[in-house]
Amino acid sequence: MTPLTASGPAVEFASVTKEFRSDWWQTPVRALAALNLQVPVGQIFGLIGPNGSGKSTALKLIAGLLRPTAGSCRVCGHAAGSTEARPRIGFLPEAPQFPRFLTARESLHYCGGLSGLRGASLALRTDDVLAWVGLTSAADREAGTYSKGMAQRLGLAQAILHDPAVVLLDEPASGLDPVGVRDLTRLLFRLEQTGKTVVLTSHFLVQLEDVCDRVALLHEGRLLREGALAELAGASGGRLEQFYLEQLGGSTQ
Amino acid sequence: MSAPSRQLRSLFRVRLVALMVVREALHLRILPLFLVVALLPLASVGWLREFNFGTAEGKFIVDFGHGALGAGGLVLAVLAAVQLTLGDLEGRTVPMLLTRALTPAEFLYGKLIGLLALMTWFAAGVGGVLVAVLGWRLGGAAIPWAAALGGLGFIWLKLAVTVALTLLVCSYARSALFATGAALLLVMLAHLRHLAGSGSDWTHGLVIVLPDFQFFDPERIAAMPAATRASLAACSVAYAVAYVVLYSSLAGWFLRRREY
Repeated sequence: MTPLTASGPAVEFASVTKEFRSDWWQTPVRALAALNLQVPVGQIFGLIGPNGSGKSTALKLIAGLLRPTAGSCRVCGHAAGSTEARPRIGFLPEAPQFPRFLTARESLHYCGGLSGLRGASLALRTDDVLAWVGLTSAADREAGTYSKGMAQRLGLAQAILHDPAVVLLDEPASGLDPVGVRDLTRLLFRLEQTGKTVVLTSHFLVQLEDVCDRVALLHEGRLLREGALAELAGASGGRLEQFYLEQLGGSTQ
Repeated sequence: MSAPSRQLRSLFRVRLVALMVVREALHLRILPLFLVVALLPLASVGWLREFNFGTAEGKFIVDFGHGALGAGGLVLAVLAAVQLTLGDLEGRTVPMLLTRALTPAEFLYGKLIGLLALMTWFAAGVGGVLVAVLGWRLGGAAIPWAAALGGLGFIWLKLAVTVALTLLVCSYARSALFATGAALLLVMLAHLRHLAGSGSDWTHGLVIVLPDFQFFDPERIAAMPAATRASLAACSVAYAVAYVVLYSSLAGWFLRRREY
């Protein structure tokens, strides 16, 4: 297990601004604006907001795949993307892709090897996570033959394979059938019970209601609201969707 | 049992990436295709009735083999490096690799070693056929082993530099078309660099960033006095290593700054 080394938050954004500019002469597009956010250890934290609100950018900043234009992002007390931070995270991108010629088992062995797992412990862990995501029967099929939902399950498996302290899931329910969504929910609870911190983005607000401890609502790169799910949704009849529409209804017309 | 050292763990990750390069190349059937493309002209030597090009038959066959390896190898080096590297960088596999313990430098060196292994197989394949054709055509006559196999070695060095150069282009490129075009252009310029001369004007500083591929020309080496060939070979190896290190370092710098 990858330990948390700091007693502070699992993830911390300190005045993080992120701008994208594909070429130097182009006007930068601001994806996040002075974001301040803390994700407590051991909680399931939902990032919600309309398309283009900066949810995926925030996850990629935590994963170290993007660098802040200003401010800093820390994971378990370490700078995001650093040698110390990377082994502590597991990341499921929005549309995970694997080498098409590898089976699911081989893909996981490859990912596990890159995370420092070896031999019998890697084989055992691979079998476990394949079972958790419901891919045991398809474990020896080439990933190139997988449906979108199966690739998503495999993406989940690689994200938790090395037992990271912080699991980042970008639209984890995308492409999953109802059984897959149920399995995902169980998996999230399993991760929470073992002390992991989960940060996920999703448009399936009903599912988030079932699993999240806290939620942050982003809009146009800015943090509109953040707090315990019960507290935020409670004022809107207990429904997260109602809260979401109340906050953004006017601005998303 | 003590845990493996940090360096050993790093080497293990590099090895994993390199093995994946070779495996993917086999899956994509890159190597067999180019081996056939390179071997066809070499094998066709046997059906050429006239070798009256002003040189002995043995030298003609050796030159033909070197040409096949040089031309086929350069195309293979560029296309394979672009396909097997940019496919990861611009595809969605890299987010799942670089969010692990794997560093961009390890990713890069894994790719480099895997691609050099492909070049070695390719050179060994062409070399094997070259030797077979020489044995078949010349029979008991003296076969120019030193020229044949030494030349293969020099061309392999050129391919190694080409791979590193292409990786550098890939570390910056956003599309396979740009990476292939830019790498082929640079390779072409490297072949022409000796024409730039050694003037002291400001352009010389720019030109020196590109290697002079004449350094790896088997003909040039063969024309040298026998006494100087060994030192020339050592210089060529050092020259190739210097450019591979330079390009790998620059590629690592670009990869560390790249966002995904």
